[in-house]
Amino acid sequence: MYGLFGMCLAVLYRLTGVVHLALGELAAICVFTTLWVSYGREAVAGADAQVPFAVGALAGLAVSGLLGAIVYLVAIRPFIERGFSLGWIGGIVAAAIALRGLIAFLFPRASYTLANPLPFKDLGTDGIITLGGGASIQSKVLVVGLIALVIAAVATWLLDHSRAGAALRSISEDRVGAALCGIPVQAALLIAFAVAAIVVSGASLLALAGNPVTVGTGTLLGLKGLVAAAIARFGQPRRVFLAALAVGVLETAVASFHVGPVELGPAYSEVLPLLLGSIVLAAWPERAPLQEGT
Amino acid sequence: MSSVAVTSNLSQAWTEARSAFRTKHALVVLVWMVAAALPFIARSAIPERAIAWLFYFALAAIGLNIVMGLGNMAAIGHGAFIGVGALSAALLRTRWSLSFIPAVVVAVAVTALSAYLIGHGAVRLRAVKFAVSSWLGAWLVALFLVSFPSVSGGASGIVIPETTVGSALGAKLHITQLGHYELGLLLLAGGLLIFRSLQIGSVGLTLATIKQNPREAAVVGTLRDDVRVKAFVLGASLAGLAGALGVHVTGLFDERGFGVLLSVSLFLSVVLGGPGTVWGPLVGAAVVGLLPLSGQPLIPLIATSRTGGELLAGALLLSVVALRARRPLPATTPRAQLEPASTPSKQSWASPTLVVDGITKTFGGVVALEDVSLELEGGSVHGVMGPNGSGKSTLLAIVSGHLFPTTGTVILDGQDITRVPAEERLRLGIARSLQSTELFPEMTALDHLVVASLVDRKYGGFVRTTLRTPLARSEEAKARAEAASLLADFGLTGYAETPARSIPAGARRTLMMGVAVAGRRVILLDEPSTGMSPAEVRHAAGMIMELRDRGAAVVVVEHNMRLLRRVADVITVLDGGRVIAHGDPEHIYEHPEVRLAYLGQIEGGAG
Repeated sequence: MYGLFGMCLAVLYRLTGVVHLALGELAAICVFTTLWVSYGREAVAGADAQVPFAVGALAGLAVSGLLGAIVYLVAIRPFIERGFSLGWIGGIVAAAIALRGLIAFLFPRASYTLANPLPFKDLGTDGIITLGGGASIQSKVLVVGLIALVIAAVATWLLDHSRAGAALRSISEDRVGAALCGIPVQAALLIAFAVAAIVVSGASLLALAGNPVTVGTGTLLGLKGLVAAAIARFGQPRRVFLAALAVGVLETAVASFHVGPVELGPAYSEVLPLLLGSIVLAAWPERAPLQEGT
Repeated sequence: MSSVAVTSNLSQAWTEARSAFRTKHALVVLVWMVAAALPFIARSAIPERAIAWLFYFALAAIGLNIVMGLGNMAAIGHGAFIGVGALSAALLRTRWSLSFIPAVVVAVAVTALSAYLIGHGAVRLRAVKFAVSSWLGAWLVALFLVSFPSVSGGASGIVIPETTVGSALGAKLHITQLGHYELGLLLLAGGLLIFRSLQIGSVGLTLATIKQNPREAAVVGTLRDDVRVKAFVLGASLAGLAGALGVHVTGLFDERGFGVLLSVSLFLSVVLGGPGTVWGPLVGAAVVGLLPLSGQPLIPLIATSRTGGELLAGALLLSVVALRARRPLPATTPRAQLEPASTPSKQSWASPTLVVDGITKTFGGVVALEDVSLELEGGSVHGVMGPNGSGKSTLLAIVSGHLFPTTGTVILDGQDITRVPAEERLRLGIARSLQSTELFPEMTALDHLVVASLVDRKYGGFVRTTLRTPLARSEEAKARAEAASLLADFGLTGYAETPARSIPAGARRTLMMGVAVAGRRVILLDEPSTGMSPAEVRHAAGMIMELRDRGAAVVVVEHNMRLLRRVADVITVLDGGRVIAHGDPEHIYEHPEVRLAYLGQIEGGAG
C-alpha cells in the first residue's frame, strides 16, 4: 500500500516537480464515497448493502479520479505554469485540508466500518495462511500485497514500454520539448494526476475492506507513502517499493516490540515512520540546484 | 567594553534613532499606546483572553514570516513549533514544577534546539522537499500528541497551574489575562522590530541574494546555509514562545488545538498578509483571528466545529494563493539608502602577486586544462583568450576557488590557496565577476555593491544585525558610503535606486564589474564587454585601466580583441586546454598558432 502511494508520488514528482500532499485525502474520498453509495452514511459493520459494493467502488473511484483532475487544474497547474512553487504548495495543502473538512462534515462520526465483500476469509483457515516453519500471514495482507505488487509492476512496465509511458518520460525530461514534438502535455498531466488518484484509491479500498475507517485513515496512508517516497528520494519505483517495505516492516516491528521492560506498541508505530522520514530528509539532504527559486 | 564606550555607543544610538524618527513611526507608537491603554479605558468591551491569544498567534506568524518571507523556505508545518513550545511549557510547569518564567525560557530553548536539529539539514533541501519535511514535522507533532495521551494529557488535556512571576510584600504576583494582553502587545512590537532589523540589515540582504539568484549568491559569497538555519531557528523560537505563553492564556494544554490546522492557519496568515512584508502577518493573523481557525476565534463569525474550520481554511488558502499568483506583491527586497561618502576616495590596494603554476584539470576522462601557468602582479592586466571550449572559464573558476585543480598550485602573496574555498578567497581579495546579466533582479545597483562587501563584515552576524548594535550600524553605514563612492567611480550613480531588472544591459555589465571590484585586489572579469555598446566598451576599458593604476591585479577573459589590445599588458591564449601563446598583445596577434586557432589559417598557407 505504502509502496503504491510512494510510487504515484514519485512518478508525479518526476513529471511535474510537484509532491502531491493530498493523495491520501483523495483515497479517503473514494473510500467514503463507496461507503455512502453502498451503505449510506450510517454505515456500520454487518449492514446490508443498498447498492452492490462494486457499484459503490466504481462510484468512489470515479469521484476520486475526478477530484484528482480538479485538484490538478485548480490547485497545481495555474502555479507550476508560472513557476510559483509557494502557490502550488499552498494549493495542495488547501486541497488536502478542505477534503478532510468535507469528509468530516459529511461523516461526523468518529469511525465507520467499510464492509468486506471480498472472500479473504475463504483463503486458508479463517483467513490465515500457514507459510510453514510456524509462520503465518493474513490472507488479506497477502492478497492486497500481491495486487499492489502487480499494479506497481504493470505501471512500471507501462511507463517503460508503452507509448503513453514514453510520452510521460519525455514530459518529465523536457516539457517544452515534449510539447514541440506534439505530445499533448496538459492532457497527459491531467490524466496522470487522475490515474494516480484512482490507483491509490483502488488500493485503499482493497486494504481497508472490513476495517474501521476515519477521516484520518487516508491521510495516514498518504503520509507513510510520502515517507517511503522521501526515503527513496522520489526515485525509481523499485527503490520506492523497497523503502515502503522498510517502512512497513519498521511499523510492524515497532508495534510488537517487547524486550524485557521495554515495550513500544501501536502508538510508536504511528509516529516512528514519520520521524524516520524527517530524519532521512534532514540528515541526507540533496543540495538544491543553484538556479532554483520559488 | 568600558563604561565610557558603552555610554558613547548608547548616546550615538539615541542620536541616530532621533534622526531616523519619522511621522509614521510616531503614528505606530501612538497606535501601540492606544492599544495598550484600551483595556483600562473599556475593560468590559475587550475580550482580553482572545486578543492575548491572537497577539501570540501573530507573534508566531512573524516567526514564519522570517522563515518564509526572508528565508524563502516554504514552512507549511511551522505551527508544529507552537505545539512544541506549548507542550514543553505545560510539562515543565506540571511535571517538573517549574515556575512561569523558567518554564517559558526552557520551552523556547527546547523549540530552538528541535528547530536547529531539523533546520540544519532541511535548509539545504529543494523548496519542494523543504515543504515535505515541514509537512511531515507538523503531522509528526500532531500524531504524537494524539498517540501519547500519557504525555499530552489526552482528552482532558494538561491543566496549567496558576501563573505567578514572583512575590512582593508577601503576596504572589500573578499574570492575569490583562497581563498577557500587555505582554503580547509588547512581544509583538519586539517581533516586528526584529523582523525589520533583519530585513534591512546584512542578514536580509544575504537572504535576498539567495532568494533571487543562488548561483550569483555563491559568486559573491552570500550563499550561506548558516544564515538560513539561524533564520529558521529564530522563526521557530518565536513560534515556541507564542505556544509557551499561549498555553498560559488558556490555562490548559489541549492537544486538539495543536493539530495541522494550526499550521495551515499560520501559513494562511502569512500568505494572506504578504510574505516578506513587515505588517502583512499582523493583518493576516487578524483576519484569521476573526475566523474560527487559530484555535481561539476572536469573534466566532461562523459558529462551526473543527470540520467547518478545515473547509474554511482550505477554501480561503486556495483563494489567497490564487490571488497571489495573479497579483504578486511588489518586491520586498531591503533597499540600501544612498549615502554619498563625504569625500569619495579612490580605493587602492596593496599590490598582490598571484601565481598559477602547472594547473591541470580533468573531468572524468576529459582534460579541460593541461599544465597552464600564469603569473600576475598588482598594477597589471592579464588577458586570457581562446576559442569556445578552450578552458578559459575553467581557469577563472580555479583561480576564484569555485573549482579545485586536479594538479598544480594557486599561490597568492606566497600563500598556497589551491584548496581554499571561494568564500575564503573572497576575503583574501580575489573576486570573480558575476556570470549572468540577470544579477539580483529586485536589488538596486547600490544594493549590489553593498552585497559585494558583505563577506568582509566583522559585525554583520545574525545577533548583531537583529539587535542593530552600534558597531553593526556603523559598519553598514560605512559599507553604504563606500558602495556609493564605487558607484560614482563606475558612472552608475544614476542607477543607484534602480532595480537591476530595469537597468540597461550594458550598464548591468558595468555593474557586474563593480560587484567584482568592491574591496578586492585580484579581479577576475569574465567577458565583461558582452552586450555593451562601443561607447560602453570604451568606458569599461577605462575602468579596467583605472583599476590597474590603483594597484589591482586584473584578469580579463575576453573575445573582444580590441578591448584586450587596449587594456592587457600580457595575454595568454588557450586552445584545447593548453597554452598556445603567451606574451604582449602585439606579439600575440602575430603568433601563427593564434591565427590558426582563430582564423583557421596560417599566413601564407591554406587553412
